Amino acid sequence: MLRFKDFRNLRITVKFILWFLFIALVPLSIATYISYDSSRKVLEEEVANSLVAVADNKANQVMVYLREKEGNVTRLSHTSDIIEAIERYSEAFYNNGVNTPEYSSIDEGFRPFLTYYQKSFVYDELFLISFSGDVVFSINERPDARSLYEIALYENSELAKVFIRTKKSLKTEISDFEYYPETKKAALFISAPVFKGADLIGAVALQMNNQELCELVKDYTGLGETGETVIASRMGDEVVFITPVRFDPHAAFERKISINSEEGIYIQNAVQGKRGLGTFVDYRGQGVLTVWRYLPLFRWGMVVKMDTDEIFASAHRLRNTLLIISLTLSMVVVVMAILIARSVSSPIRELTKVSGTIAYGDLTARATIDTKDEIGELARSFNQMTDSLVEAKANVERKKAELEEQKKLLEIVNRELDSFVYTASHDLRAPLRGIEAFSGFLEKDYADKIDDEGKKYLSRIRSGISRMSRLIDDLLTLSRISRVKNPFEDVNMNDLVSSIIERIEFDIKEHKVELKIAKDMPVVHCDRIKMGEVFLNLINNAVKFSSKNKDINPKVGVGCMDKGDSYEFYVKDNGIGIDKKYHKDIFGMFKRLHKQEEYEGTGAGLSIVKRVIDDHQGQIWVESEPGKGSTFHFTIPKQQVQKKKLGEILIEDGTISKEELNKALRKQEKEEDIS
Amino acid sequence: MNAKDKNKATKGVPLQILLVEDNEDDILIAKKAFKEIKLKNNLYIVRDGQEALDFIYHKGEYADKQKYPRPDLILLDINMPKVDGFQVLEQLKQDLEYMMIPVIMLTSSNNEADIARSYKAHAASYIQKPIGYEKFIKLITIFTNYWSAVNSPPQDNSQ
Repeated sequence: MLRFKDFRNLRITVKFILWFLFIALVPLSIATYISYDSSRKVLEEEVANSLVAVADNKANQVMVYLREKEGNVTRLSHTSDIIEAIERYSEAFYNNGVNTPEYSSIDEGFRPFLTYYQKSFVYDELFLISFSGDVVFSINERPDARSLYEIALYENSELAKVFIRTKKSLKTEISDFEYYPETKKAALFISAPVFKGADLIGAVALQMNNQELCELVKDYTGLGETGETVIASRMGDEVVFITPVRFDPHAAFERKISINSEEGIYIQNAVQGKRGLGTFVDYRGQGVLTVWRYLPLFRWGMVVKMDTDEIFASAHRLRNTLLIISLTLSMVVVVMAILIARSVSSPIRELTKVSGTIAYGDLTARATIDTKDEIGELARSFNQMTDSLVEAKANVERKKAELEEQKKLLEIVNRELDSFVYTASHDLRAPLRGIEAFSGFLEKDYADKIDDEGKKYLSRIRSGISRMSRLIDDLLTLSRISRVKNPFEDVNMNDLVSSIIERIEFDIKEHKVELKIAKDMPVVHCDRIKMGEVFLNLINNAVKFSSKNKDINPKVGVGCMDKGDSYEFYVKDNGIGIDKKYHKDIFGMFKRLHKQEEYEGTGAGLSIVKRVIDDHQGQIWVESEPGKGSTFHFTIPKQQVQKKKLGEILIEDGTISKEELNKALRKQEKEEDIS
Repeated sequence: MNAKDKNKATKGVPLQILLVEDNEDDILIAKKAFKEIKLKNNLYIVRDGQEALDFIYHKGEYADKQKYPRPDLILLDINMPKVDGFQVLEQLKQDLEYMMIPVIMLTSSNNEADIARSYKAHAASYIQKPIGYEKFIKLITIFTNYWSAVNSPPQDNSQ
């Protein structure tokens, strides 16, 4: 089953075809069904009516035909010739016998008339029967065959039966058909009483065949190609066809149906005195519409029937025509649907193709649909959108280039600044060295020549020198951190921290700091020397500030947590803590929160730490409250994305060649190192 | 010959030291420092690399071999006008006659490239001039003792 969801996902062409077919075929199918059904009904009714008419008409014809024959015979029986013939033939028959001159002379007198009558009225035979039932004359049989007639009479022949009935009723009687297999002819007898005055002296009987009846039945006027009339008679337990049928010329007296059997119900009904109308299956296995009648005068059943196929032929033709129309229409509809769907989907497909091309980066692609309809509009706005995209992309490229330019500039400036800081601090060392040495000589060698006031000034100079010396050292470290890139290696952090602790063991012991280092720190891919600086500065700070909180025993902790993508290290102290408002500032260069006298140090430590962490693409932050200690956290990603150096970017951009870069760097390094 | 050398310090023979330095402050400090250390020494001072080479090769005003003897130890500043410290070092180390004289590079820079270049050119040691006279005294005491007493410089063939 096609669900709605599936339908929605079909291609436009298929959707159109399905919709078009639905719209075109549903009303057409309904119309076809209704017209077929109604025409069928009308046809059935019409044909039934006409069959009834035919049946009535045929019944009438048969009756008129036989009545006429009956009338003829009755009239013949009243003629004086016949009365006299019976009287004379009976006399001769009984008194002289058949083969006597008396009989022959009588026969000679009457035979021409009788033969003429028989011939002109087309009978098969004419009998004169005596009162006692002997056939005294027949046209075809010699009168000496008297014994044969006797036998015939007493063998319950139709002639005998009809004679007996005539004798009883004193009226003209018609027998049933009798069939002679040897002659293959049917015989029916009409017998009329012959009176002399008021006395019955015998009967005249005429034998006729079913020829004329057959002609009557064979008239198929109004019965189309398959219609026919069947006349049957009941003989004992069987219904016997007494006329041939349209599709079986030998049916008469051959085709028989047992009463109460399944076949020919309509004929069975007819011979049993019923009339009616219905649809059945006939002897050929065809569906037929039948009308049946009972002809009481002859105790016959008559059926007029016609094949339903023929009856409904026009309805079928109509139905077939409509089916052909539907089929043709379907094809036309499918073709139309495809054409219309194409007209809708091909521009969409083109748009899709163009947008795909654009998506792959070819911004010169444009939709070439110039229709004025909605799709044309879509294409135009799509093109406009692409234009804007091109413009926007150009803008972005420009901005990107500008940014890149600025970034390069900034990096160059940064580098220059670093190198300036390095050179400057370097250059500062030389004079400071002299100042330190000479002020020292003054203090030592000229102690007796300088008064106390002078010595006080000298000592101020000395402490200024040592502070400046530390500042310069820190500046150098800071610039070295930025300048020098050591190769990354796998560093066991426990080992690294242990080596740092060794370096500051003296301070730790002096301040009686309780140090707790986690034992399970990981191996991290990093710059060993710089990472050492990080721990050195952080642990140094922690030792320094925890020992200043005089109320408690100083404690410092170092540890690490696995954060999935990165490791998070911490250095924790229970020292004086840092106010929240300084949490960001402390990582700035030479940021001091305390007076020189309170804590030694230049304030460069944390900015060195931050630079190193930045270099490792990590993050650093502090959690602290005044009086409650501080915890410095920093992260190191497990996967280091190697940052490109400026030089590599310049080379990639094609700004300079590798040789030029190396030359420039060498030159710069030389300049830096002049001191 | 070895015995004679070994006894140089103990016998009271002063260690001949050549200081190549252009900074007057550093010269003054060095003079005072070499005066103060216990080891007997004669400190000769030249102001640049060219002068240093002249001194060693007894050229020009340094022709007098008695007045300007062959140094036992050279303290060589790197950054100098005209001929710099590296050039002097490389020149000496190419010369079979003078290649055995220990040269200590003396500089305010702790540039790794300089350190590497110095050792590559067979400098005996490398000292970054510290801020702090006391540290300097310590350093030169260690070095001069080392080079004179503990590990006497091998005697040159010509002597």
